[in-house]
Amino acid sequence: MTPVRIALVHDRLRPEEKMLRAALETAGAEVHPVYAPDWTWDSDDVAPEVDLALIRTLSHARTLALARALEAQGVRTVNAAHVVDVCGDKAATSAALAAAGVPQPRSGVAFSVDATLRLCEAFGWPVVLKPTIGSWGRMVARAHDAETVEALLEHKQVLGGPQHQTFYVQEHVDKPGRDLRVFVVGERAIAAIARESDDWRTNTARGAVARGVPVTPELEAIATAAARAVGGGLLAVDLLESARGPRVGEINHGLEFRNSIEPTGVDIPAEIADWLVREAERGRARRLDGATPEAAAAPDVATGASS
Amino acid sequence: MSPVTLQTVETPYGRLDVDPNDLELGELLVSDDGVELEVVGIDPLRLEPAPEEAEDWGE
Repeated sequence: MTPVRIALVHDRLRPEEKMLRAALETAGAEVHPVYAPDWTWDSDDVAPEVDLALIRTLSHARTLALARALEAQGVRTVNAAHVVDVCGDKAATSAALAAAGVPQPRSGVAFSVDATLRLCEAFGWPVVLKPTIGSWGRMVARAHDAETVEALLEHKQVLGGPQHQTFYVQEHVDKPGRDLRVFVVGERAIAAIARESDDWRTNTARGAVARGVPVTPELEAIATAAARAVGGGLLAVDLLESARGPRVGEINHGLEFRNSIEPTGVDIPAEIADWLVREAERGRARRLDGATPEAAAAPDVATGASS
Repeated sequence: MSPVTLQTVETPYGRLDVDPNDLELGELLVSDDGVELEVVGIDPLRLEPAPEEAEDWGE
């Protein structure tokens, strides 16, 4: 059998992309790097001859555009466009989690200052305001009173673009100086870390330190349920430990893992690569069986796997 | 494994030593002036200031 062909679509080359490429080659895949700034999509293009495209671009908008265009050509993408769409927007993620009954901090959306303040009062102070699109803890603010919320929202209204006119609020979870991140690959939770920080924001991009923690049945259950709720795939599920049990804070579709390999002892790129190769083989087999490219590429909404 | 052949590259943003056989598109390099440069072309080698972190970048 000829090796599966996997396109590795990237822009800035991070350690993750290099590790994934090496792991994919070790797993027997033929890797085709695609530098996104050089890439074009033409609606008349024929489908590229790859079995799967792993999209690793940094920008949410760019990743989504790539996934949509490649899927239109019948290419199975990881993650799927609808998964990128949902995970890249915190309000959409909250809606998907709520629809699936997955525990999350109480979350809400409003479009005016007065309506946002009603949400804050209902959640209780302090509250957390987050941009719907964004990562690495940027522009995430904890507000202890109405005056602070009014000031933050005024800045959003005056200085922000359209995406900042949707006000996303979460109840503040008094977490124990850390949050948890579970790496979900397909249907499996392969590793978990605790991100410890003196800052209330526990992003490793803000200096939090990663420590390996066991993937307990409870963590696995909530992380995989959260992944299924957004369409599944290759995801990092962030969990907040609350008095009511773990709650899903957010779900990341472009996961970074360079600082999580050593503390967990799990070869995360190898696990990802093995799963990607299996997914690529399944997609190829379905195409050879005569499924339309669209059907072969379409992810199963429940599992994130190709249908 | 190809031998390391460092080559000095002069750019408007500073000078840097690179191994042209070991460069990849998208790679970040830092000039002696401390400017982050992204490899945007290999043959010929083209370096441009790396884009600033954008609002929708991340995981």
